[in-house]
Amino acid sequence: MADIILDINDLHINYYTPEGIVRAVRGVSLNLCKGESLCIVGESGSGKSTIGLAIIRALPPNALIVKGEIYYNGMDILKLSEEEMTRNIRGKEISIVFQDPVAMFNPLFTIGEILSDVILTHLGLKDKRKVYEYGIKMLKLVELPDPERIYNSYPHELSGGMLQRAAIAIAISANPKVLIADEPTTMLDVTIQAQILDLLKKLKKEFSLSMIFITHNLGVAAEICDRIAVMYAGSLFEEGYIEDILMNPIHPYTKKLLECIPRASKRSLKLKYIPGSLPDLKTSILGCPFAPRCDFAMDICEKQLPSISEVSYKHRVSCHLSLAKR
Amino acid sequence: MNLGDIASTFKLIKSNPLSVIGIAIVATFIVVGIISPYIVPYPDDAWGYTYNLDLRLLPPSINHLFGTDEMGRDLFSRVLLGTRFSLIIAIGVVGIALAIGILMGLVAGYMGGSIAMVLMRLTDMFLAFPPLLLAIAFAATLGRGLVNVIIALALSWWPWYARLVYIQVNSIKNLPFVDAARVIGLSTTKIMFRHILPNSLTPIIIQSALDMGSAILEAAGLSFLGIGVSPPTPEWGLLISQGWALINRAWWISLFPGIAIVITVVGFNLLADTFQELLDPRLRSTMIMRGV
Repeated sequence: MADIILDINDLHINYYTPEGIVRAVRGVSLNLCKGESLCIVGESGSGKSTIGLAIIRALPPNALIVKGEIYYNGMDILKLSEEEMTRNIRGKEISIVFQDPVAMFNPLFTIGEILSDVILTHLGLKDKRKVYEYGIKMLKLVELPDPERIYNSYPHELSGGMLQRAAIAIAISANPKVLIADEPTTMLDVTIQAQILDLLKKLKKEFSLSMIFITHNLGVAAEICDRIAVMYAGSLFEEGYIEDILMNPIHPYTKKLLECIPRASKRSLKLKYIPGSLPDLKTSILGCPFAPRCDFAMDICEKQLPSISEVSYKHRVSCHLSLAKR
Repeated sequence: MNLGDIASTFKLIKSNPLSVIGIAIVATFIVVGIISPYIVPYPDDAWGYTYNLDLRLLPPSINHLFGTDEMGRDLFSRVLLGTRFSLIIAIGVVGIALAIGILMGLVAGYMGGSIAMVLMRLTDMFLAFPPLLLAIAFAATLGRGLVNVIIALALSWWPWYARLVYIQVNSIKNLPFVDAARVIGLSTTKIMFRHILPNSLTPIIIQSALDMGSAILEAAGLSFLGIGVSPPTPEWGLLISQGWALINRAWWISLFPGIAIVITVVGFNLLADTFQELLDPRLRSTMIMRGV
């Protein structure tokens, strides 16, 4: 595919906690092409949100990027100063939408005040009238009904779905090229969830946005993405086009994950799950982190971390099994 | 500060007689403070430029409501004009202390790290002394005068605000909406002053209303000790200290300025309570639910 806009190279991120060092991301390499949407799928604690925060450099103070590079249009954004990030990247080039729309809004300001703040900061519009019109335009764009009223509403007067739309409007108001969506539908109910996904799809097409969509829900991922990256315990397990991942999963973890999706047609069956839980991320894991839960674990799995390799065109897997097969 | 709709605010105030009294006292204090130079019955006596030995130490009467002092000056005029000085002191002290305290607390709280370390240890140094003692030390060093009293009190008070703001900012800066403001690319100054400060103001507003009363009290204390404003300024504390020596012969000289101080301080305390009720959303909603 076309030009790579975001290139993550061998990223390692640690969290320093009183209980010890949590190695949340352990050498992940990923890239995102222009106009493409990439889903990062994984359980809680797999490091997917950490990667999202690292891209926009909004990691909590106890997190440290130990190693790796993140290139945006060929420029390593991890080397930029905090000020350069704020002035040139955040909001303008890369934006993020978070999980909990209610907590994202300062309760003391109306939607319009927050929106116009962002517009003033990034677009340099001086005329108040123009800022207002632009704000209304953005609210219309995210399909909010009665944008004039919402512009003057306080966050507590709106529902979660409306706030998430407003948050998206704010995120894209300065025409960013990359939108990171960190579980944007998790806190919403299913009907609203579908609407937000449709909205994101529409916006992606209209603005030729490149999107990174972080979710634990493979169904949501299938709905919206071109490519899927499956993460587990800070490592990338499998990555490829959506058809390849859904139809032809190679990594045992991906297969298990797909089996765990509840289906209405199989309601007589028990819900499936993967026995065991994520390994303790504070320890250094020698082999494959999934080995203790894997049905096909071999001796080598305990001892050596499999390297990631391409099994077919743009379909990469990190598993000894796939290496052995070839 | 979102006080909700004004109608319900008025309703809440009206439902509590103490709030009404507090607001009435403070409003009267401010109005009198502003217009007193123009309404005092004996302007020359009020400013203390004259003396009239024939009228020395007259007890309260129709002509001299609060009596006269040892120089024959009308005490009512002097107490009334004293309102103006107390108003200036209250606003000056709390204003300056707030300005320094908010800036220090905000910067230290948001920046954290070594900046917070330096600023907060500096604050701790001031906090290590009892505030009145510190104010006395500053006032004694600076010398007498209205401006010096204000500076002395403000210098001994800002650390309290700095601490208060620092604690507030620390709890607010980690809220998701601050992160959201940061990742959308708003500048640090904008985040500090627009997103964090307004959310941390509630306890500061209440505290500063309380402190307006304390400022008047402490300024009176400094004047009483002879290191406050210089005579013949009709400052309440100074009036009390002048009457103190004569308390057996002329009780009114100290009594009336004393009453003025008590009423004003109580007024500001009631006002602080009112603010607390209005600004606490939980208290507010229960009061609305009770149908008041």
